[in-house]
Amino acid sequence: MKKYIILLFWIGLITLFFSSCEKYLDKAPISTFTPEEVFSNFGNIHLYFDAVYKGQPTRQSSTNDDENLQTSYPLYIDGGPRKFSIDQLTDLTVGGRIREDQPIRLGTMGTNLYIFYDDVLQRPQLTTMFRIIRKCNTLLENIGNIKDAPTQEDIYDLIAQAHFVRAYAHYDLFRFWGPMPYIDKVIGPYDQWDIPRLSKYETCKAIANDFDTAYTFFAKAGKIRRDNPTVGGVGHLDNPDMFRPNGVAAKAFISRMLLYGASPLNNAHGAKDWEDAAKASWEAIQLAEQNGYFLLSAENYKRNWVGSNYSDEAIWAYAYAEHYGRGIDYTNQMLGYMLTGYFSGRTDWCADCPTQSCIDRFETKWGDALNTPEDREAATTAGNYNEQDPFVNRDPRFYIDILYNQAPVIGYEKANIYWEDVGGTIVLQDLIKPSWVGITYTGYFQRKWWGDQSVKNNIRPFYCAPIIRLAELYLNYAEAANEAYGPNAPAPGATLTAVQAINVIRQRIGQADVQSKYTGSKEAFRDRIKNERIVELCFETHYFFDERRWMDAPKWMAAPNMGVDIQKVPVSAEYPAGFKYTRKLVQADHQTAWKDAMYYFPFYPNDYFKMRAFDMSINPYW
Amino acid sequence: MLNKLKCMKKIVKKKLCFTSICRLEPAFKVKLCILLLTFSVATVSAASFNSGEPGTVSIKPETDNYTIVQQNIVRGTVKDAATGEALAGVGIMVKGTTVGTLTDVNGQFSLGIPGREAILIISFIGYTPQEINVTAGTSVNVSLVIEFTQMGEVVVVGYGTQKKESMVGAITQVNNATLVRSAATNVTNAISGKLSGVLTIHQSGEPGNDQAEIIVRGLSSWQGSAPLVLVDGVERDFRDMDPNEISSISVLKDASATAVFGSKGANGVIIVTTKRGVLSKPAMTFSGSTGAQVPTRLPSYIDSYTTMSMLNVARMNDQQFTQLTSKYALDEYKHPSSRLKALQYPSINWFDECTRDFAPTVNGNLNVTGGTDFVKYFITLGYLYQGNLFKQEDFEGGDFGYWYHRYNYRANLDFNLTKTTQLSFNLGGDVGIRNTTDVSYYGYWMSFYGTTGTQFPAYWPDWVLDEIPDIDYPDASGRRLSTSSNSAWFMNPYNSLNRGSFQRTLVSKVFMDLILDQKLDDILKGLSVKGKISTNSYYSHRVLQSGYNRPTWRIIWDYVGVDANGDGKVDNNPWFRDGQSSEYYYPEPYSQSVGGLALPTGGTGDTAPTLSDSFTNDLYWELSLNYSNTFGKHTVNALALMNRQQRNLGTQFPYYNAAFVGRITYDYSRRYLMEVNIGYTGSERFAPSNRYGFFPSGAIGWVISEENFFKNAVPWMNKLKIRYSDGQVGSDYASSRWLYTSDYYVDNRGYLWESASANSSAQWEVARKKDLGIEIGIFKNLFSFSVDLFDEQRSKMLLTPQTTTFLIGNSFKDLNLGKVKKHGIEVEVEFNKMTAAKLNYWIKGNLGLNENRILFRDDPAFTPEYLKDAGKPINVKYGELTADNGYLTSVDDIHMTPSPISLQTLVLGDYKFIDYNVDGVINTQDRYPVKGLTYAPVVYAVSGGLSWKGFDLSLMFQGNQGKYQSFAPQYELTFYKGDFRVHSANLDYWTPDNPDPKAITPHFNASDVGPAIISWISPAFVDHYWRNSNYLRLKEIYLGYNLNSAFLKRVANISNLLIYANGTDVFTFSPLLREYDPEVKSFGAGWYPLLNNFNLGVKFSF
Repeated sequence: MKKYIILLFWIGLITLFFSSCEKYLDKAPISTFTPEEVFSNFGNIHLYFDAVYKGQPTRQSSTNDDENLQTSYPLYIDGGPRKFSIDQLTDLTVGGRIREDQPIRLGTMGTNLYIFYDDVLQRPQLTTMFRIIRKCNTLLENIGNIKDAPTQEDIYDLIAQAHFVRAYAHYDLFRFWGPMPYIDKVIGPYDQWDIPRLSKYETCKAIANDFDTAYTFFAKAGKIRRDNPTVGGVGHLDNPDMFRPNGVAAKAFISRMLLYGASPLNNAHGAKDWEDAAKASWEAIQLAEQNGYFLLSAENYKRNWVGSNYSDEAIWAYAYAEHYGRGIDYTNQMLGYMLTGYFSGRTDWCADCPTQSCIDRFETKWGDALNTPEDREAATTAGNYNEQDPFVNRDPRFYIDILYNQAPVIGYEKANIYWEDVGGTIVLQDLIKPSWVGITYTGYFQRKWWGDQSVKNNIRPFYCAPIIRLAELYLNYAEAANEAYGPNAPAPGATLTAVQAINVIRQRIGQADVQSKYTGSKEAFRDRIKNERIVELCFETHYFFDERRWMDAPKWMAAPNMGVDIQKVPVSAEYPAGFKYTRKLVQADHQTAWKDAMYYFPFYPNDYFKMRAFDMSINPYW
Repeated sequence: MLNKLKCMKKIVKKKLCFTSICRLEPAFKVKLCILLLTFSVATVSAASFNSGEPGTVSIKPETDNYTIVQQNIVRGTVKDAATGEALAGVGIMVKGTTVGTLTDVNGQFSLGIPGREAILIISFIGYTPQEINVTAGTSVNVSLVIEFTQMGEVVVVGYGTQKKESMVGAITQVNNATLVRSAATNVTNAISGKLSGVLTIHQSGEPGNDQAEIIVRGLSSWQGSAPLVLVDGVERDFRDMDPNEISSISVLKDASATAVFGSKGANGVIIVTTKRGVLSKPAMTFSGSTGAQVPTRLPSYIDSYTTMSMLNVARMNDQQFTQLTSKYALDEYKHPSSRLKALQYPSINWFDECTRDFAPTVNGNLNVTGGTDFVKYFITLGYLYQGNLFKQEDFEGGDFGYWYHRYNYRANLDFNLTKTTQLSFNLGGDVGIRNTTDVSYYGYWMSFYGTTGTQFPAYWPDWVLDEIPDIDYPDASGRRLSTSSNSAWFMNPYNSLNRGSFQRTLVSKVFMDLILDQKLDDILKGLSVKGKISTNSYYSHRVLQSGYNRPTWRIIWDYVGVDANGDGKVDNNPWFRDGQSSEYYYPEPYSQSVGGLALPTGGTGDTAPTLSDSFTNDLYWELSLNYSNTFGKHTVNALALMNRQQRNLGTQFPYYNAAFVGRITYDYSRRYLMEVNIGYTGSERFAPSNRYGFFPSGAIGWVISEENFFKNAVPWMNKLKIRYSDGQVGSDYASSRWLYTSDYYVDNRGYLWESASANSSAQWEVARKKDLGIEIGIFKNLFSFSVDLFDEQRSKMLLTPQTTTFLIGNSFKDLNLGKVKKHGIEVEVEFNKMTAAKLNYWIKGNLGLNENRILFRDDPAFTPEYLKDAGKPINVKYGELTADNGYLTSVDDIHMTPSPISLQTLVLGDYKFIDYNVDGVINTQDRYPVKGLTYAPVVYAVSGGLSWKGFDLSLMFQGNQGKYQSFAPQYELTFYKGDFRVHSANLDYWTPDNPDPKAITPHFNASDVGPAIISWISPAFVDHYWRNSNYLRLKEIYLGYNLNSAFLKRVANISNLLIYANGTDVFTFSPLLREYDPEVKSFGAGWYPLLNNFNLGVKFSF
């Protein structure tokens, strides 16, 4: 009996053991979500998609670290802890400190690539943009699963944004790394991971097409513009969705993409490409103006960047203050990248210092070009320019964009960028005294993004970073129309010639029209269009890409970078301003150099071993 | 009743007897002794009383025979079968009763037996127990056989034991007697050199944190190669166990031995078995030792004059001509003109200032073992103390030093509930209290090895305040701490040790097993069923800490004695306190606080739980059916088992595992052996369809020496056995859990993202292992030899794909892509001779050699061959090599040789690199797979010894071949990160007069990364950062004297007294720089020095 009891006991125990067996290993945590949970709920799908604007997928502890579209926005790239601007990779400006930008502009990318590649503390654009593309494709493939969208328009808006963002991400990759395959589906573990690139023009065209699809859906969604275009109307420029792109932005980007596609670096079909670009630009201008966008007046011109979150000129913009976690110290962040620590009382900042060639691009207020010695000679002869009193009577934008010697500064009276011989001793003024880190080596600082805040003027202005603004569309139109139809003929269906379009930009700020001597031929006017574009869009991260697509970079980057030496002297006829201005070479370790590999950023060494269909030879290692 | 009373009297008498021994022996802490003995004896007596309960077979007062007991006497002598020496203290028990005795010093006993005939069980630790039939009035002679001779030796295998002679797997085992000879303070170091094919790497000498890393048969995966460790059949951490509680450590290496562990056995299995009680009178053993620990190697001291002279060379090389050190200063460094100047221009040997001559250790163990018919018990208490190597000031009564106290305890009890039911209960564990100076901040150890001795004194001696009064604090006196640092990277190590901060951590481990074993012979002879429940808990608690910071002072030498205004007082106070403000300084009172649960720092379910996990517990269930029977010449054993494990690590989601195991062994006439194993294990990582992996293995063996034809033909060869095993073992180790699920997570800002894409087809990694073994014994095992050849092919190895392109925009969870092959050989040789003069001497050696190659690791398709992982060993390093004689020796050289940095920054005597891919530039693609591995492919040991008349001497040499180490830049560079410091590696540097040096010309660069040329170099720069560290060291030395005197027995009831001295790592041969220990894997940011151990001990048995 006893042994049977024991036996039964064991059989019971074994049965008990096996009974719960099936599910024993089926345990997994529920702190994450299944695809079904994400894509069936409209709220979740917004949390999923809006990550492309504001998300932080690798969950860095610092809230300043982004891995989203912001990493490509003009002010993100130029501000924050990143300490150098994209312009500093070119001959347009020079850093006040030697940082990672310097080897890059000298043609040694080396290990500095991580800044743009995948370092979440920096500007990880390569990995981020492909991650975003995957997100857009995943959304588009799952859009049919949404069960509780409030309206059909909301679905259209999501589709439109997905197409727009996908196109924008490709655009960002295109401008840094060159032609790309157009990735319009989610790549799985068993798909081909090595995909051939399109040609340069095809890439631009594919991006433009996707923007066009986005426009169609923005139109269906009623999101051609996201706010009420009536000036002063309720919600005007104050819509909580302003950070999202809109229909006008889609058309505006088509203008930019086709202009890029028609440019010498990417042109495939000669004049035809320019014609397409001119047409697209004109359409974009029309659409923008129909929807209440306009060029800000001269008085409000600065509000394109400082003083408001958004403006009526910015078709799609990035409100710096809206950025997560930046509200407290954005003033310092702004000062940190473009002005010496003298203004902020800090010693760890950098400065963004325009070169003399940048300064020379600002004409006299009468429209005299100053780019070459001959230009300056002519302007001097005409009585419009004096090399020893160079900062009077310049293009009004000069005073907005540049901090020059003796420029007025709130709290400091004037910017003193000079040295003085006091009884044989050289006395440096604070703005060039090396004890302040980030002084200028060119004699200039950039002022465009500065709101005049300093330790003596403790204000915290709003910043607006226009990603694309109306003025650019006029410049795009002028450039394309000039190439396709010459300076003085309008594009079919358009009412402005290239010259007139440029003058629209100049008149709004109060600059004289382009002098007729420059508008005689397409070739002569081309230089003035480029100059106008550089001046109007300076420090807005266009120059790096413009000089490349124009294929001017080999010439401009190889030219010596100049600055100015400023010595205080007694006022005399020779030195009417009381300063002696001498053009000088910026020192050797702040110069630029060029080799053709620099048209595009390279990839990580290991990536070259992974792909052949994707033509890696376009991006030689440098 | 009467008998019971007598019993009690006996016990009381015995107790008194024990305590009196303690008093007689002043060498012991009497109180402790009494306490321990009381505890043990109480346990024993409780057990004895239990045995008197009705229902058990013992002497019952109501039954007859009280008088007969007095008449039925059996006498006998017990001897060692090999040496013929009499054995004292051997337990003699009448089977089925509590009646028993111990042999005296002459090995003799006499015992009253309850009847005319009885069966005696004769057992002694280290020997195989015997049962003999005796008749009253006779005299017997018994020869006991030492357990570690091969005949009859039992080997622990997965979920059971096997006789060594019928074993067909590749298993190596070390037993208690060998383990306790080691002076190592950690048992993981005590096995070093004793197990063939096992690599141990000692990493640190920090008290309580000095365990070794263990690898079986070399690396086999890039996902981690740590073997599975079981203590009494359950996955547990054994590194803090007391060697005295361990019966054996068995290492399972091939498929037939490890297949039963299915998913976890691929990297080998280490089974630690604790001691259990045997049927005998209580036998008590006490051992105690005390010793000293001395650093094995420390960097040599380089005086300030040499350092600063080299700094001048470096500054000139880097065009810093304005910052040269003056001749005056150099002279002061060399011969200070006063004792104050000696502080201003110090030449500090930090090792002298900071370390003592040795760190003390104390070791104690008491154990009691024995058994009755009802219960068998093994009870032990152990204690270990490791003291501080560092000199530290006494400050406010705080205790800032390094020390470690460990208390081990264990009680293993086996109760025979019925004739067929055995209930076992094991409770074991340890409590460790570890005190450390708070070195949690960055760079402490780096400072210890790297801080300059030229810039500030270690501290300000008392007399400094007399010579230079502190004007602001005129009452100040005594020693003051000196400047804490002169750079961001290197601190004053004396300050770090004395600043007043420390952490004290209590770590506790508790292992518990409850095992019920039911024989089912009634159903089928030889059948039994066993159930087991085990729990483990690991607990780590910060019990006391202080973050106190004593003030540190510097002297501004320019102010000393300067009295410009002539008022008779110095103008400025030369004393400056770091962080000084204008306010008067009152030092904060010293304070310390109790801490919280130590924070968890990683730890996963794939590795044994470590102390870094604040709280870990797991629950293990096992249910098994055993069958064992012999039919004539056929012996069959079978096992069916299932288990489950739930492991909770801190706040992590619990880890789950489940397994089904089967095994059949068959033995025909001890000649033909066969074994089949099956492991069927499940893992949470895989989708339900792929969840369970099936791992079969088989082995066959032929004992040729048992064949009659062989015995006739080759009579001198007493053993020849050939065995072969083949099978599969698995691994589910991957870089993440739940590979089969794809999910979405929330980022810090509340947005949703797709995590790494799922691999729904993920499944087990499979290791196919083959092992051919040959065992030979010649002239009755005078000479024995065994060799194992093994081969392993791993496939479906889980790896994160490397060929994913950036176009995908996401990563993938691990895919089953990788392949690795491995093969090797292990040899064991032993010669053991007993001369007629009773001199026993032996020599034995083991050698393990293994080689692995990655066959596939998803290398990008267009990678140059030399950069592909495929075809190279696991963990191979890619480094660079210098060209020609290694250095740029002319201006032509500088201009003609490609260099990774611009030539403006190059000087003569800089490294000249080989342009490996001949593309005209030196970049990362010029790094090629360099020779050498941090895990040595060849491990060997040779040991020998002799014993004669109680003297016992043994030596063990252990070595690694093919081993390399990587040096962190601070040990290879001059003036790393701006610190005024050179190392001996720098002294032989390039100059025109010294064209064939070992080091680059000095550089000085205060930036983060040192000289530009250096910042580019990889950690595997051959002969500089990457150095050969083959070694051969005298790992163990042991000398003992065994005293078996009648006097002791009579006076103190001590049956056996052993006095011994032993040591570890006594000396070392290595091509590595003299001051670095070759055993560690790399020299990173610094380390607690590795320590030698020297012990003096005594052990006696009652």
